[in-house]
Amino acid sequence: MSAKLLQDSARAFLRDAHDMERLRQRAGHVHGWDQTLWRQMAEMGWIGMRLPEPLGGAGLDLAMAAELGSVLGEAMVPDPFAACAVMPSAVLEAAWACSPSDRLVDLGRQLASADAVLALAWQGGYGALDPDWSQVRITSAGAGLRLRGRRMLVEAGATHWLVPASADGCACVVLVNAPRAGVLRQRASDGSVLVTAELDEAVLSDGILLRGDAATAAVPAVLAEGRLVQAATLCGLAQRLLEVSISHARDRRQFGEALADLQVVRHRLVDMHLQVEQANALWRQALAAVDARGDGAARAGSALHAASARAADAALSVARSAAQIHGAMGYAQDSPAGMGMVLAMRMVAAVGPADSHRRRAATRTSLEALAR
Amino acid sequence: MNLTTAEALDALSDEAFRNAFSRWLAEHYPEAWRQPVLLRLDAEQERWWVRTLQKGGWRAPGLPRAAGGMGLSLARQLICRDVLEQHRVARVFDIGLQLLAPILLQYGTPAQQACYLPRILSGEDRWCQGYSEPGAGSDLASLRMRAERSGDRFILNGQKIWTSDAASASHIFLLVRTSTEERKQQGITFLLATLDTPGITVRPIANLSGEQDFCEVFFDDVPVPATQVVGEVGQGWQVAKTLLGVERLMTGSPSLARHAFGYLMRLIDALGIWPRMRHDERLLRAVADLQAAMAVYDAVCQRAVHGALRDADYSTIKILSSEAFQRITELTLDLAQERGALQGAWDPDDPAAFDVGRLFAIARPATVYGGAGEVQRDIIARSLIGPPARR
Repeated sequence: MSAKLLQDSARAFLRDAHDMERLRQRAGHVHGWDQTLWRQMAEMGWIGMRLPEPLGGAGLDLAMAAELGSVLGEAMVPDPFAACAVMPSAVLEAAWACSPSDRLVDLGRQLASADAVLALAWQGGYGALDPDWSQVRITSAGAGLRLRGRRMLVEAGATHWLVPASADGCACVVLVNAPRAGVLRQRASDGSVLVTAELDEAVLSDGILLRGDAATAAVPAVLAEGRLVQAATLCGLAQRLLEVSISHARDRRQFGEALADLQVVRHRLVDMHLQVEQANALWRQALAAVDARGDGAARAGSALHAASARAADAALSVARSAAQIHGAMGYAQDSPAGMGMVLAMRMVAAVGPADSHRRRAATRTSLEALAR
Repeated sequence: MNLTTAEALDALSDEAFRNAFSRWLAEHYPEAWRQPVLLRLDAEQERWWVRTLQKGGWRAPGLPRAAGGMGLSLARQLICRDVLEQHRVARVFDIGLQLLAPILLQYGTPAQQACYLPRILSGEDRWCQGYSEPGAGSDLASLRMRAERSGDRFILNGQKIWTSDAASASHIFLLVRTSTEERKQQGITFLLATLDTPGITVRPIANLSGEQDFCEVFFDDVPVPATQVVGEVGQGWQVAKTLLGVERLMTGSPSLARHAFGYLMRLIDALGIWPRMRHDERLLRAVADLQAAMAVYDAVCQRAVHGALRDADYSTIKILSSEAFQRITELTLDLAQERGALQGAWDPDDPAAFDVGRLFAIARPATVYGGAGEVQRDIIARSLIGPPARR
């Protein structure tokens, strides 16, 4: 399947399946998340698109996931494609590469069919870009193993958590049921719900999916893939906000003329467009860097951090300008510009802090490569 | 094998081609001229360099072979450009090749092509571009300099300004008004003239970087033969829009910004402030802007190679590159403290020292030449939103 075909079919599907009304109702859901669309996305083959075929997926490459992410952003779909489709698929793929098992086949099937919703619960503190492995520990308790420690800001819709943890100093990625007790549930700007937990959960049987070097290599690569798709999603959202602003500027007349005829408004729209162009070029370049290296998104390093930082900056700056161009309507939560703003705030948070990414993008080596 | 014959070059892989040009450059390019941005070759140096390129078979990558150029694909032209930048060569305007040759190829008569192209390639003629006038800068189509038909000649009266290199050039190509029409883009004619024609006076204007390459050029009853019209009389606006291959992208490339960034890093190391600068938000933002400009430029070059350029692509890269260039030189000036106010390198004994103020000054017109940033935004706005209502 070509990227173009995937995007066209995704746009057509989302026109019927998702609209502003659905976005508004999201705030009323207990998980901040309506499972109907997620199931439909699974039927479209999107949730498992990155899973290897033996695990019940389509084995499509990262570029396709990023293109789809971009369409989801454009359609203002808040459902966590990067966090609950792309990233868990990458975890299962890494686990499968280490040691294939029926357990993984079963997990893959559940993930792809949306019978289970998996999320990588990696974050231990605000502003982190990497997991703190030692913050969550595996200990023996009676006959089984228990997982104890803090993980935060995980999608409330997840039924299972994939948790980077350590067992006597050895890094592991562990599967547990999403915690029910001792959790803090917080609603995010866009109505979604995020869970922070002091974990004290039983490790499921065969629940240690990755161990040792395989685990420490896989998790940064999984995060990188997720960020790349998230960056593409943010670009899609920014593009949509730009389009909405252009059409508002064309329609809205003040002082006897359309806003779109005022040079100051036109230049503002151009600057929004330039932000989107830059963010788009950077995620595509980061993708090419991943492909060229052929050994995982973590290696794309500087290019990926540059893409993440710019996508975050672009989405927020375009959202701010869109709000300004919409005037008072831009402050109304029900308007596309207002909706876009709350979505951008949430989606930007999911990619990680832009200033941390900028710092990582500017290593001495990458600066020397820039200089001439 | 003589590597520089066209066929031998074609047979090389991109990598081998790149290496061949790199090696040739290392052998022939004067070491003392490896001062990008800050050094601009003067007329004599430029002529020598053009002749050297010509003899080596590396002259005119984008010009067709039939016209005496290398006839390279766009992808190969970009490689040549990249090799030159990596070698940190000085600025060369080479206006005859960059701006006039493509126009002569498309609109010139066989006689004009046969007369001028070889002399551009050999460096024998040095051209300048007479477009801007005191009342016509970004709004070039408002130009008023007159050319009246008189028998087999045109008589030119008026003034050009901001004409780079007019003081050292032998020839000038001009846009002049031959009639007044409803649309100001109509009635403009493209003409060629020699600068020693009686009635032409050239007066240099010193610029902020201390160079004298800007000039005013005055025309007082200057006769130019009608055979020197390029294209049709009255169609000069169309003629002037012609650009060839990679040259169209060049003014928008982030190469000046990258060189400036090289100087910025040199300053940071010379002052020993890397430990505190590595997390400096201004530096990080400058880096982010440069990385983004490069990514967009690469994407645009790829589109060009695949023949899929969009209308506003040039405007986009021009804005991003010129603004990144300026921001980097602003930070450089700021970090240099009092050094930035000194003429010349801040420490004549320190080989790492350079002229910070000049770097800053050179970046100032980047958002003006080749179409001001505001004009580029208007162009992008047209393709993004559509034309504004006429008031």
